[in-house]
Amino acid sequence: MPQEFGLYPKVDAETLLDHFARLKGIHNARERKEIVDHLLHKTNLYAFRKKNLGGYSGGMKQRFGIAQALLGSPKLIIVDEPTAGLDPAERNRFHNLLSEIGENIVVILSTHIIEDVSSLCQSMAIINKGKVLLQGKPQEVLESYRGKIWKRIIEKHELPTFEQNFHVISHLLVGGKFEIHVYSDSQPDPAFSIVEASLEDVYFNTVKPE
Amino acid sequence: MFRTIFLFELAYRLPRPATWIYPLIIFLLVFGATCSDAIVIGGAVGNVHRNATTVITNYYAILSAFGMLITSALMSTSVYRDFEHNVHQLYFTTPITKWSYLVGRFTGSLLITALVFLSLPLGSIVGSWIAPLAGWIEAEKFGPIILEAYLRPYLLIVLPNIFFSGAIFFSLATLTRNLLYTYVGNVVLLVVYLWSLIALGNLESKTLAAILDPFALATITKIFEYWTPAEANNLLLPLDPILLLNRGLWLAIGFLLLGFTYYRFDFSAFLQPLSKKKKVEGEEALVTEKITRELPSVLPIFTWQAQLRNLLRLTILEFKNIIKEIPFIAISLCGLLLVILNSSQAGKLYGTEVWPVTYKVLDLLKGNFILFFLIIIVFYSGELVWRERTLRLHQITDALPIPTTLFLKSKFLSLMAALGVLLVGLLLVGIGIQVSHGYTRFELGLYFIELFVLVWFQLLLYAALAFAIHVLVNQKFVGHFVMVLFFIATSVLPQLGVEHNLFLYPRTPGYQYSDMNQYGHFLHGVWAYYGYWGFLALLLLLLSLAFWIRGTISSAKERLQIALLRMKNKYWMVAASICLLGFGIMGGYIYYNTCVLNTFFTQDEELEKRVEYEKKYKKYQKLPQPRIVAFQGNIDIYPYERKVLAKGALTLKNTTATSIQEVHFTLNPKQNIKSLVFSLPAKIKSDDKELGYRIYTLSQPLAPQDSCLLNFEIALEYPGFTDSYQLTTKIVENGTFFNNFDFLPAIGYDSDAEISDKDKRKKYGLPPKPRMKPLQDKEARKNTYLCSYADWINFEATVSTSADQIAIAPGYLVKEWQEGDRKYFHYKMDRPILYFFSIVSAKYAIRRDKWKDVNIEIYYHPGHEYNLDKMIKSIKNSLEYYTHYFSPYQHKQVRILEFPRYATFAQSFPNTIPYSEGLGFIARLRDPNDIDYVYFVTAHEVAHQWWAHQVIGANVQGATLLSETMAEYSALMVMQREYGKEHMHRFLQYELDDYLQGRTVEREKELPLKFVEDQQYIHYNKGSLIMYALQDYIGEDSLNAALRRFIQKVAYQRAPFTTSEEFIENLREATPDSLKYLITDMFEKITLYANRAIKATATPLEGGKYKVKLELEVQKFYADSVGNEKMVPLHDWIDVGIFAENINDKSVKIRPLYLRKHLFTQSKNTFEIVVDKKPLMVGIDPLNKLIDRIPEDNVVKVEF
Repeated sequence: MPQEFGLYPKVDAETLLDHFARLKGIHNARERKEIVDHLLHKTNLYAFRKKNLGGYSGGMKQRFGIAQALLGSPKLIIVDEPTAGLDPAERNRFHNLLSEIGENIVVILSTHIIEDVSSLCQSMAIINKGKVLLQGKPQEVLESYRGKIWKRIIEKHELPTFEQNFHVISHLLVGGKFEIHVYSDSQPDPAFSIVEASLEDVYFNTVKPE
Repeated sequence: MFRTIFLFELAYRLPRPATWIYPLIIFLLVFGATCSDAIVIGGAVGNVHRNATTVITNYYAILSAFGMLITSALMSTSVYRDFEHNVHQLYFTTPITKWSYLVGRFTGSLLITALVFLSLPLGSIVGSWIAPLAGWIEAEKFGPIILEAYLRPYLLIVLPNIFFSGAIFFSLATLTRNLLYTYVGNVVLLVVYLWSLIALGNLESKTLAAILDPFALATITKIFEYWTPAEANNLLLPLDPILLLNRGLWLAIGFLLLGFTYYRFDFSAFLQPLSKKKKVEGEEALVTEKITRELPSVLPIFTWQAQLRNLLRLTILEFKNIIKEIPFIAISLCGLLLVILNSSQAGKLYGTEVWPVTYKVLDLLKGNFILFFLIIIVFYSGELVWRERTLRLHQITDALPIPTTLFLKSKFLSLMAALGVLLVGLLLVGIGIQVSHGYTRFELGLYFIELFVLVWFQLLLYAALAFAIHVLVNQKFVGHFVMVLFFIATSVLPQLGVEHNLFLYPRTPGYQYSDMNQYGHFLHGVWAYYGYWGFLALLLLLLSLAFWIRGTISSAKERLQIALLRMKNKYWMVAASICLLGFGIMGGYIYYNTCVLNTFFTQDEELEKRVEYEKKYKKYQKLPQPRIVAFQGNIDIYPYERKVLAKGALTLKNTTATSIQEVHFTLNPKQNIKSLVFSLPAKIKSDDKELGYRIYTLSQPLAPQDSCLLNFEIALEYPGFTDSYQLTTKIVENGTFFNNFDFLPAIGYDSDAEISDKDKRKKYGLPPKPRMKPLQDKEARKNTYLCSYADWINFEATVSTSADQIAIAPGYLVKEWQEGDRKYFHYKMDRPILYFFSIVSAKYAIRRDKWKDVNIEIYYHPGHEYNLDKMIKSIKNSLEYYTHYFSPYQHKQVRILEFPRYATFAQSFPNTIPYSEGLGFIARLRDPNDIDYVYFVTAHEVAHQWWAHQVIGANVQGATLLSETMAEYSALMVMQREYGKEHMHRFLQYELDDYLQGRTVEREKELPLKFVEDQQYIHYNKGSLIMYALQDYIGEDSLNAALRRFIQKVAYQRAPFTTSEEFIENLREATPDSLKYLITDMFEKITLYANRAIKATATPLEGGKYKVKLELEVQKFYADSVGNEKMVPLHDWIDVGIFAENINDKSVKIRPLYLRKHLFTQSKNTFEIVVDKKPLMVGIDPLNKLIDRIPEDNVVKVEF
């Protein structure tokens, strides 16, 4: 499923899904009807199957995208940034859908939203500029970071000094000051406090340092 | 703020390449048109300078009309751009006003557009400056460069055009935010424009068209319609009221639209998406219902049947997408609208309708709609190729498990299906037009073949090309542009010498359907070319398949690699090889037919041959040669093999004073000379097969007054097909029509083969050639203007044809018999006739009648009975009139023979008149006030039995006065007897219009009637006007008496033949002294009047009478050969008329209250005349008997 795609605006969901089903080699009308209905139910679009796709919201469109991707019993689907721009409710709904699908089919989810990874994925990889930098199960990866991420609040002007002295993996402006995260096996100095490592930290640490 | 927006608009536009490419294209076009003959946009004729006002203004009007594509591209994007790139939201955050935003954008873009079109004057100025300097065109073809002459049309034509069309496009794009609607706007303007050009052709709707034409081309055509070369070269574009009205109208429309746009434009609404998308409601309320059921698993099927079904589905889907789109619907409706609008004008002649027979309706449909087909093809092939990518659906569809061919095939087929739907629409409109005219003989088979076979296939060829270009170019707008370049190239290439259709995709030799001959043999060539181009189209599609973009392709190199990979597919290779082979075989087949079985010469090669002929053989022109004095022979016509075999003998007589040793022949390459044998011993001295010149030496010279026979055996054959169907229209399956010059060799050097165009002669280094010899030329007076080696001959022929046809030659049928599957007709003429005879053969029905002892026969195509009665009536009335006034009829028979519409004339041969089916057989005279041209043309042709076949002019200037002008006059008189005088007024209006327009496109020089050099606008149109006026002045009876005397004197005379001079002297004698000036003015000068009724007031008198006071203006001019006028003193008798009815209303019978000739000696005149009834109109020369460039102002309404 592509990151961004359009649909024929003046065609309804059922027709287009049926159309794709045929193109994917499902020629038995009964089978096709069954599978299309099933997918529409599954993606929660059944009630709107007769509505033109032009009127669909972003989330509905994404779900339609999944529905068409599932036609023809794929063994693997690749989903590229599916939840970008969706409101939280839609995102939840989409996540539920993905995890449900993931029970039977391999789903490769490409995303920049790191929370999605922790909530959805059984295994993950970080790819930067075409290179796989890290690979593993989210839990295991987090385990390896446990106790290694430290935070501290500093003044803005202090950042360059800290960057020189510590392995700063991220900084975030909080109330006019920086909250910095540092990767270190032990407490860098007493002003630092330990934090629970998140995948975000893993990401920054993997992608950034050089 | 306004200033910022305005300047930003300029700054945004200036660096963009389009801003520079557009003016470059315009510049090159107008520059090329000015200094070469390859690009033709209107252009200059004859003595008109290449930079004359009329020429420049035409360039501007045409290019700014078609330049609306550029205007729309520049103007519609100026606000739309913000929306397209989502910048509009940012604009809203700045404190700009609606006024400065809209007006700033509009004026900024308008200024850019105006600058772009400044390339028009620039191109024409540079062109007219460089061309003579560089020696491309002789300097005499250019007038001086006067800046105002170039700028005036820019200000008056171009700027208003871009303003209002810009306003339309700007408004459409701003209000709808959809560029597709601006395309629709383009098409709507195009329809109004095309309609006005057609309406311009009709006298009654001319002015309306001139006022309404959005691009003012019809307007300037109306203004320039009577401009002589001198005026075109010397005058500036005038501020004519019609022009001002037209410009005012469209400027007002532009301003109104802008006002409306300003009023409707709402900044805050601008932020919202325009289309009120029906959002799917109530969705949030739903809870995901967990479906526990497993997704049913299926095994996908990918058999060929399944793929076929997929193809069908995809095609249907694409097809529905096209036909549901508003632009498609709008363009189609516009085209159909144009067809319907023009259906009332189609085929009209002198404002009289024709029956809407199916082929006429098909011509109308195709002629008007083809442009819309091409627009749809170009536009939608781009849309189709790009559809998924535009919708951003391509990543999904590209991943579908279907072969790439399926995309291409389905898209192509869907376009063809959409075009098919349009063809069905055209069919329905065509039948609708026929029904609305009360015509119900629908030829559905013909509709089918024409629309769904011939036209559809042609569209397919265009569509394949457009697809291939869009795929290969892979940039939508560049693709459109390349298609436009293609259309330009195929029209320019033939001018550059690439003339054979083998190189001009997707041309064919063409064809013309006729009721008589149907498609005849023409489709043979068309099929061959369709096969040839069809294979090429398949190749193009295969190429498109290889280069089809599927998935994400990052570089041209990658694209090429993928394409090469696809080409290595064995199916692709097999298909491509078959197509290539087919293309080659068909090309060879075409070459064999057009260049081996037949000959093919480009225009230049043709001219070069004529040049060489002249250079090589002109020396023999004065060599004494024998004349043909008798023809006797057998002519066997094989219509279905399209072959004629002629065998017989010409009697040659030495009519010169010296004995003749050598006999020379000029042979037409179509004539296959099997043998030419003299009855005396003779041998071939030289035989130039290339140029067709053969010389025989007689072993004994032919003494003066001595004769010999020339036995000939000649075949005319048309094997295979030629590159143009027009070369093979004489001998056809049904409706063969050819004449003696087509199959018999010419004796001696044939000066008619010389190039006559003065510029071409110069180019090939030939000395100037007068069009005709002067009246005093004694040598030239030895021949008639029809032929230089024969005049009166005895004639006898046996003509045979296939058993289902009738063959006709001049003379009387002596015997008719059948032998096997052939029919024989033996014709013999009882008296000498001119060496000018026709042979005709077709499947005829015959209508017979009789006038006194003259047999009248009309040989016609069954089904064409409409006007037979009119023709017979006209023949009878003509015979009555001509025998009463002129002289006895020399034959006992008048025969009209219908022939196919490949030519649309009627021609008078001795006692036989071939008459085109396209001229009068399907004319529809339903309103008794319509001009009955069938009656008129018939009378004209019958009159030629006197004026040509009794009186024949010498081969000098003025010869056609004695034939054509006099046939016109005779027919006018016969028509006047039948239809009355007011009918003549309307007919003569057409003659006047044709004369005044004809002289504007004179190639060499306009001459007085006495010296006419076969110039049709003079001998027909001006001749009619003058002879009609003359009989009005001196009386029909006394004119006819003079004509009778003339005929008695010169009928059937032998050399030296008579001239216009003798004729005119005869008329002068018959004219009273007070009117003798007329003879000079009419025949020996080019005389024009500017008569005008200025004012008329009436006061009631006692007893219901009225006193009318008239102010009339009279001016008389003599014009020279290029139209320079000189005012001359008056001593002229001119009609003054007072009418109670509107004389321009064709349904009113005019009974003048007063109509008398007055002597005018000064320009300004006032009269007082008392009439018995209440007057409505008065006028000077109110019935337009004199030649007057503004006939409308001769009458005014009476004021009280």
